[in-house]
Amino acid sequence: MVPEPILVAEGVTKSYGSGDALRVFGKRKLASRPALINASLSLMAGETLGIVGESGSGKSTLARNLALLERPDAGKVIFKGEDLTKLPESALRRCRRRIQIIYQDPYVSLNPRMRVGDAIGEVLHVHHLVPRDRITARVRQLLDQVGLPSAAAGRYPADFSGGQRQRICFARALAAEPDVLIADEPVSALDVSIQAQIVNLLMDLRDQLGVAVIFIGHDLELVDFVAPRIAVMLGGMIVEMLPPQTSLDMAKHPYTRALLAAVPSLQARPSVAGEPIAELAGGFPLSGCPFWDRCPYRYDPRCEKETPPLVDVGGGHLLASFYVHSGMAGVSALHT
Amino acid sequence: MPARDRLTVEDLRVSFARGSLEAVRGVSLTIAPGEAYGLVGESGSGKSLTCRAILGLTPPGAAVSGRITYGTTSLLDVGEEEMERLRGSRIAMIFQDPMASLNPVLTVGEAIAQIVRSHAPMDRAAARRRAVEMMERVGIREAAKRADAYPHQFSGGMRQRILIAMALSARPSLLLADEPTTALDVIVQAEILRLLDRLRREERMSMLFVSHNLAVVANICERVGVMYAGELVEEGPTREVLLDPRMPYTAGLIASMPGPRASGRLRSIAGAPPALHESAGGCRFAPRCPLADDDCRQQRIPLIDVGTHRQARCIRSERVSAMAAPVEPSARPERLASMEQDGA
Repeated sequence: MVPEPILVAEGVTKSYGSGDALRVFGKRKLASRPALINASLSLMAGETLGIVGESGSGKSTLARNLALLERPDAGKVIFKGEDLTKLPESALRRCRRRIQIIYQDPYVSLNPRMRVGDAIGEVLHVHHLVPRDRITARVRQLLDQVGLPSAAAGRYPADFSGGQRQRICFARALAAEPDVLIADEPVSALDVSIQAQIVNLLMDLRDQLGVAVIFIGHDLELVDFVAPRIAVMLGGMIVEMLPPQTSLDMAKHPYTRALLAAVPSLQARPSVAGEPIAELAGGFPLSGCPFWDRCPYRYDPRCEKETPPLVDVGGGHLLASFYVHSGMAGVSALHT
Repeated sequence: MPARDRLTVEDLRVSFARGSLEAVRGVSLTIAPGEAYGLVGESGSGKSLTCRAILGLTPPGAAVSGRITYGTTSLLDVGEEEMERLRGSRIAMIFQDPMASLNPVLTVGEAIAQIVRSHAPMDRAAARRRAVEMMERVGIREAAKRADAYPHQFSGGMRQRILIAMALSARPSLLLADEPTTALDVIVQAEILRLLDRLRREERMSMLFVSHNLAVVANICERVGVMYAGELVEEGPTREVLLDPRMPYTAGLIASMPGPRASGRLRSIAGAPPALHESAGGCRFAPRCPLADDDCRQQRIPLIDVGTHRQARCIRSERVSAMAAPVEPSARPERLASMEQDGA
């Protein structure tokens, strides 16, 4: 039997700022590029998918739309065979606990006035996951699972360090017994030595509970470490998808290579590093490839006019770049 | 003005609550003229306080002692007025959050021009020309036009460039940079680092670069100091320290970074740094250190010479290179066992 994916996104598109708010101030409607354009991906049960991209590339928007915290403008989000975008709010509430998000900053994602035990217990109570008299015991079990003493239940978030708070966020997310855990830059706000602890915890929990994980970050090396399969986002689009067992050296999109080159590293990476690119300033181009104005290899007249399609260049390696598609010269050829 | 002055910090101590909470515990370091020195450590290690103490910018209630000299000026002894003159002129500083450091109701051109005029008498038009020139130098395109924009109209990376333009507008000889790229994504970070490195060389400035990220420091600093729990625990030329760390904490930090094609688990340093009020008798890292023995726990460990221009606060430093990086005990012992088989 072919296993069914647990979560599928099909052509998910989301725009913000239609201009209504700005019109109040008498300004005309601003042309803007959607934050998410035609994003498609699928996730198998227990699988880990990494998502990388610069700030503003649409990583977090994708996360919120996959969890239906926002409703996409177009496209489907299919969870266990059911299109969540078609569900009314009441039915959605039942499904929602199945897809949990861990956020970047554990200092703002916990209610400072709520004891840790209550914050976790609330989830159990709201979703009727355990009988009332079993809540305390289950909270203790969850705390233990994330490496915190049961005494933590009686204390407030302020009593904990960043790493410990992120553990609490993990416990709270796991309380909902999710099938999919979306970790949106879960270690970006933490110190290096603590980052490693939290990444290890995430991988342990994944292996123990069989939960599928979407791991979002801008550090390509860290995401590569956690996730066998990586989607690269740019301007609201997935522009490259690296299948499992594909090392970062195989990345072809000039943007992916630039991301890799930008990660500060203790060792030099001559074979992998791409051309450095300029930071995103003033938004993405409104038409064409979202990368054409910054791409070091722009040469194709289509770059400015058409959006390059995401095509399979072999073995499930998806790529959207006219430069590489036209096979003029592999990016790698220029660097070897 | 090219850097001619040496910064010397001797036995710097910063404490709170009448000395009961000691956040910086006797830090000594020297930055030669034109040198880039990286100060690395986790939150709470005292790296930022050390940096701020140099400019007299410690938070209210902090007691600062020791000696800080820049050239012939003793910075802890000068009055507030003299310090005010020094800030921005000979010594400038950039911070982590550029939005918090910019006045939201001033155009960035005005903001830079104000700084220019406060350090050198000139008319408004000349100050503005200088402001635009500085914006061009830090890589802001269409600077003349962008000078009339407000801070919120810039991206995080562009704001940091504006702060750098402000910091450099009076041509300081020493730049203090406190985590200037931490809030930025990797692409912007790489750009800002290249910019700082270029400007520092062009202006022949000295730089103290504070960061929690060893790799960031590795890219732009000639020398590095590693701080842990208020103390400098290792110091030396950046390359040597990274290739051959002599303090187990430094080794642990290096090992915990995901390298290319790493697999299995990240090696992490178990536990957490001590709280400010915890004053163990021995090495402050001993509770987390795989090499620690009774000697480490019983005596205060001084910085020990471990090579030319290299020091480490460790009496077991000769064993660090042979040390398997500390691996955090797994919640699943069987997984650890299989990892060992893989030779990871």
